[in-house]
Amino acid sequence: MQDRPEANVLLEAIQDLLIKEVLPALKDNEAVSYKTLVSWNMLGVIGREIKYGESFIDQEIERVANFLRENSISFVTTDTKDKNYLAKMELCRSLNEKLTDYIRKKKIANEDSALWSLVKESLNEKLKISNPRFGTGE
Amino acid sequence: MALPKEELKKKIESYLTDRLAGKTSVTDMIPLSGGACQDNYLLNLNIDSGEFSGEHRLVFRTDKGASLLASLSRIDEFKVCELTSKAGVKTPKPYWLETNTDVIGNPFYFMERISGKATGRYIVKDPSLNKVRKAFTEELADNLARIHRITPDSCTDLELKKNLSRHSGKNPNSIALDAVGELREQVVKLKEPHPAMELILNWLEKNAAETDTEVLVHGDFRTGNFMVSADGLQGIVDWEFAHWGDRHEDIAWLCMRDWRFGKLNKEAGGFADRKEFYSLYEKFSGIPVDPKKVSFWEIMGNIRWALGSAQQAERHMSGADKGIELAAIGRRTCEMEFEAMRLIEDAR
Repeated sequence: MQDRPEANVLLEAIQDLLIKEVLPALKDNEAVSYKTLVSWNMLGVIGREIKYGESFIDQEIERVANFLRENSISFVTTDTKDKNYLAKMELCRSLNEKLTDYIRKKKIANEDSALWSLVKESLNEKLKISNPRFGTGE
Repeated sequence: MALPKEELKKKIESYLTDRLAGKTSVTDMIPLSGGACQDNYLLNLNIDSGEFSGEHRLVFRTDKGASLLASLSRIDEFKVCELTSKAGVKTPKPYWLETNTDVIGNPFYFMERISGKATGRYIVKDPSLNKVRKAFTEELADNLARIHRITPDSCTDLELKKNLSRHSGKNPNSIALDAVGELREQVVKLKEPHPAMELILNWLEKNAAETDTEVLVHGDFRTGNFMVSADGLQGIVDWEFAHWGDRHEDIAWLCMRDWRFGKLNKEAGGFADRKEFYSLYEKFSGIPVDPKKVSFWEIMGNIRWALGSAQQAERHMSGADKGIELAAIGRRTCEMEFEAMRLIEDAR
């Protein structure tokens, strides 16, 4: 257990520094200003990933594994209680590989609405971390 | 590998001194943040005698030694600039192509430096452009119609004609299916699975649009590649993705969500209404725009850009070309995948 402040608080402090002090000091350098803004944005991504990443991975593993099981494609065990985040990502990736192969081989587009929603849900979760304002029209 | 700036400067000076028969000095040389495949410099020249004697403000363009999916060589890009410039398209005039790689290691050429800015936010939001956006939209539609009047039959340079073709030979009658095939080849090479891309590619294959006439397609016709000032359109740039294709591909690419830079309700590039752009294009080209075909190519465009984003992140991951911009863009892949799926739902 690390001492205070938590990682998210540290990230926010760096974000504050970039926006309030670094960016104004760079106003004559468009290219570096832009990269600073991108960096500020990415710190937000990291913060949200720390917050939601693991629970999204758990949900995705569950959803994709269920679909693979129901369609008799794969019956891998999805017990993740002993797995750390990276190991869960690895498992999720391998499940998605099986799903991708299935879609490719069966040439499925939008005919299977359960599959379509499943894939879209995973995109939704990615967006909630990478760009939560995407759906708001901003 | 790109040469260091000082060395490059000396080589340019001695090269142009010979080629233009006038002692040439580079009085200023500023690197531009170019694309993934080229290096660009703003270049001020002083030539003391000969045909080009005097001061010149140009852009110097060369390869980085890496190329993206289906991007043209500098040689072909130079030829496309010449071709479109002659067809009355507003684009910077190209000069002095050198194909011999002994000179600086890569082919290069020079371009007229035009005024204006191409930045997305400037074009869609800057108040100084409020009065010209309408006229600029009209100019763009006119220019796009001019680009699309260039056809493979009218191209007399056989080498260029061949290099602009993206036919795989597998689908002799379908430009759309060839385009899907090209994307599939790249998607399987990605280092992570993308189930959404597979669904989208399958949909494109099942709903392939027919092409009426094969025309010259700019290939990256979007906000960001139009130089604009308070006097309107100054020029269309970045021809490295030009190819023979379907006119709807360019129209759709312009209308893609990602090129609206936050002005989502202005679906044509963030500066005009979609229908307004269609009707202006129809007025200048005399050819009707088929909204269903635009939708098909917009779905294709989104998956192409989703793939491009994933590939740019991969360049960072592999160490081929490192940088926060490249790394960050990988996390935007899902935006284009989501948008393509949304468009497919709307197309039902």
